[in-house]
Order: sequence, then structure tokens, then C-alpha cells
Amino acid sequence: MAMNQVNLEEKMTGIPAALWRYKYGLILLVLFLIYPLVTPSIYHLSLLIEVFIFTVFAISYNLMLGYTGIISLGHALFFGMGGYVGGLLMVEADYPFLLIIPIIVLIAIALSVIIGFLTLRVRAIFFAMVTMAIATFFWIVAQRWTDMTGGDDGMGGIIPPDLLLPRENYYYFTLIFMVLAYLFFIRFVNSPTGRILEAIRENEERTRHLGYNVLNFKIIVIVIAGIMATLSGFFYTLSMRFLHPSYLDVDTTLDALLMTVIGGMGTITGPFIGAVVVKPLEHVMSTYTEHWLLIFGIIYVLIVLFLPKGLVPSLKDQADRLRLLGRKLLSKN
Amino acid sequence: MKNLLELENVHTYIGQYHILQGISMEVPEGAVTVILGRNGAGKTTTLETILGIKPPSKGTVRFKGEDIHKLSLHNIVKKGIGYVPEDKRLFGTLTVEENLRLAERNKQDFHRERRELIWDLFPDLKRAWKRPASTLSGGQQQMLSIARAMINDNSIMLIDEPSMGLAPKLVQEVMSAVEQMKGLTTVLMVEQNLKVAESVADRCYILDNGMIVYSGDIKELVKDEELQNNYLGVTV
Repeated sequence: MAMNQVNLEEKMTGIPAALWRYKYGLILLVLFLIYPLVTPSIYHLSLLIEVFIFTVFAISYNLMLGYTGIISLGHALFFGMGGYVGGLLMVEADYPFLLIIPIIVLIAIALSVIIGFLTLRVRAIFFAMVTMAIATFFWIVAQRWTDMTGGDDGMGGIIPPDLLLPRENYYYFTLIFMVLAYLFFIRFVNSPTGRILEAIRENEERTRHLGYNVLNFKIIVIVIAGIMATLSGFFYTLSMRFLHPSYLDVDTTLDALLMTVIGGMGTITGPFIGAVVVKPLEHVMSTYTEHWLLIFGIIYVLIVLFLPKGLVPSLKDQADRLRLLGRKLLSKN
Repeated sequence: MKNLLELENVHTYIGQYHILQGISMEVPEGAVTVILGRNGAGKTTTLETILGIKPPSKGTVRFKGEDIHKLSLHNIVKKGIGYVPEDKRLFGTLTVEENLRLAERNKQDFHRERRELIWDLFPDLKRAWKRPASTLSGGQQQMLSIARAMINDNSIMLIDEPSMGLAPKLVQEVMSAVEQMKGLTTVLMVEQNLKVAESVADRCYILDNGMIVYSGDIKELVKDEELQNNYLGVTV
């Protein structure tokens, strides 16, 4: 049976092979597509919307940390910037949704290029420090500039365009956003550029010896990650219909880090698994105790200690071990 | 024979230490030139200075008649300089094939001819083609490291102590690969083992405390026991 499956996989090429390869993802996609038709729960739809958006946010972090080895301590900068610039343009300037998207994308590109050129040239740790410093700066601005941002009380009234209402429409919109981000992500990490990024993560100096301009590749990655995080922040703001300085704080960066590490750094499915584990857990735990962050910290430490590769690679290792054991038992019989 | 690479009065510092103290060197096209010397003499620093990893503070590095000492590492490599570092520095999670594809500058040109040449020279790599580099033995990793520099049409290969840490049989295999490179490219090799160097070199330099103390035919050096004792601490 197993042998037949291997033969079948080997014979398939092109689109059927790709569909077969991502069969579980496709099944999941079908389930997500029919989900709003079978449940009336707005709470669960909202939770899934959050999972879809944070999956993209985690993909952006995974591209940097998991695939290229760039540590950012202020990734919330892009997330919050997308939320604040997009939200304020919508509420204060009455800009249309379709115009806001290119504006925040351009800001994300400019910000990533400037930070990248200023910091990555020297040492990787500067990037981590500078992103954290700028994120903190904007977090303070968001808190103190109360006339514009509402300060710590936040700002409401950020309503998605009519086309994306009611909630079910927004659910499908964010599902498409996640699927498109995933298609791009898979294509990108499997491209020759993806291999170069992996090489940079493994040994930056050696990659330079091969004639690659490492700085340019790193900037490409942080621009892509910056765009993804910015759009995630904007769509999250639209989903919550609310802006708050917490979008820019260190907890938001830690969310991305947690999802990447728990799901599995440098893996395709890791960001989704990470978001599926972290977001619902956050919701569930926060209803029982106000010390949920502490429990999260303990879970994080346990995963780092016992599943250091993250859930996906560790479960894959276990499955491979079981498969091998099964084959041995079958061959004995 | 025309010189492919020339170093003229090159000084290099690492921090406050004056490592290369005005060395001048000529590497003729098509030949194998070896740099010999004790530990800490400045051999690896010479290769790293040529590549721009440790740029010279003074002096000129000229490749094919063009000054390259002010260029950045990736631009120097693109001029056609292959590098096989002492510690191999492979990409462990990538397969043998992916390591070679990554090294190739012209992505459209992962041509059969080069690949087959590599397979001929290192049959082990053909067998391990789809295996991650981290699973290779030390000798196989050295072969992959050399193969990676050979995948491009480099005009010169800088090879840093290829025999280090290898069993004698593997050293022979690696040297026979260097020997076969002679017809294809120019080689500048750093080596501590005079016997190994003698088997492939046409010309040699001895570095001592960052200065060149001998340059000439390696056969002359092999005959000169006093020179070997003074600067290499060994005799063949």
C-alpha cells in the first residue's frame, strides 16, 4: 500500500503533483470555505479571522528569522504602522480602502529599506535593536498624541468598506489574504532566492564568498516581511474596528516570535500551526486567568526545551520514526 | 608566462596586529603556486586580503591587470576568483546538488560538462548527490568544498590548506584533483605540508612573520634543507 502511494507520487508531475503535495492544505481550505455556511457563531468567525491575519504576520516573521536568520525585536513596528496609518487615513482623511493599501505598502517599503541599509550593513543585532527602538518610539507617540490617536483609550469607528461587510465577507477576505500570502511564501522559499536566504542563515560569510551581495538579499526579505506585516496590521485593525497602542508594543512582536518558534522556524506550515495554537490559547486562557501570559511563558519554555525545532518538525520526526518502525514490523511479518 | 594575479607591497592589519608586512607576489597563469610557512605566518591572511575579506591598508592587489583591492568581497569573487576555505563552510541543510547550484553564478548554465567533470574527480559526490551536506564525511566535505569552487569558470582558485585534517588516502585524492585542475585554471594554494605541496606545485613562496623570505621553484626548496629548517621547521 505504502509502496503504491510512493509510486503514484513519483509518477505525478505538474499541477496534479502540486495538488497532491499540498492535499492536507487543500482539505483545510475547503473546510474553511464551508465553515461560515454551517455555523452562526460570530465569535468563532472572529477568532478564525484573527488566526488568518496572524498567520500572515507569522509568515513575515518566519521569512526573516526562520529562513534568513534575521532577528527583529520590533516587528510590531510594521504591524502597528499598518494599523495606525491605514486606520487614521480612513477615519481622519476619509481615504478609500483601495488607495490606502498602496500607500501603506509604499511606507513599509521605504521604512524597511531605510532601517535595513542603516543597520544590516554593520551587525545583525543592530537591526534587532533599531526596530525595537523605533517601535517603542511610535508606541509612545501612539500613547501620547491623544488628539490624533486617542492615546491609551484607543480609537474606534474604523469600519471595513461595504463590500467586506458583514463579518462573513470579511472572513472570506482574510482567508483569501492568507491563501495568497501562503502561495507567495511557498513559491518564494522554494525559488533560487529562497535557497540563497537559507545559505545566508547557515553561513553569511560563506555566502558572500560565493559572490552574493548578502545585504541586498536581506533587504529584499525585510521589505517583503515589512509589507506582509503592515497589511496584517491594517486588516487586523479593520477586523477589530479599533486602534490601540498595543499593536505597536513588544507583546505583538512576541506573538510573532512565539508563533514562529512554536510552529517551527524555517518551515512552510509552521506559521499557520503557530497561529492556530497561540491565538485560540490566548483567548481561552485569558477568560480563565489574568496571568495567562505567565502560563504562555511556561508553555514557550517547555516547547523550547522539549521540542526545540517547534511542533511541525518535531511531529514530523515522530511520524518518520513511527513509519520506519511500521515498515520494519511489516517486513518481519 | 603571463601573471594573472599580482600583489605589490601589501600590508594588512588585523586589529592592532601588523600581519602582512609588505609582501609582493606573482601568480603566473595556468600554474599551481603554493604559499608555505609556519602557523601564524600570514598565509590565510594573504588569501583573505586578495579576496577583500581583510582588505590591505597599503599596497596593491591586481587581478588580470585590474586593481581589485578596493572592491567588496562579492564583486572580487565575481571577477572569477574561486575560494576553498580552510574550514570548508558548507551549507549543511542543503544537499550536495543544492550546494553546487547555489555556488553557480550563471544559473542558466548548470552545465553537464562541469557536473560530469566533478563527478569524474569526486565519484563520492555523485553517490551523495541528493544528501544533505551535513551527512558527508570530512573528506567528502572537502571534495564538495573544492567542487563548489570548480562549478564556475573561475580564472583562479584560492585553496586554503586542503590537506588539513584529512587521512593520507584522502589527501592523495584531493591533490590529484588539484593536479587535474592545472589544465583548467590557475591555482594559488596555502599548504603547511611541504611533501603535499611538492606533489602539485610549480612555484612557491615561503611566508615568515608576514614577510616573504623565499620565492622560486619548489624543487630548489626541496633540495635546500637549511631553508626548510629555518622557515618551515621540517625537512622532506
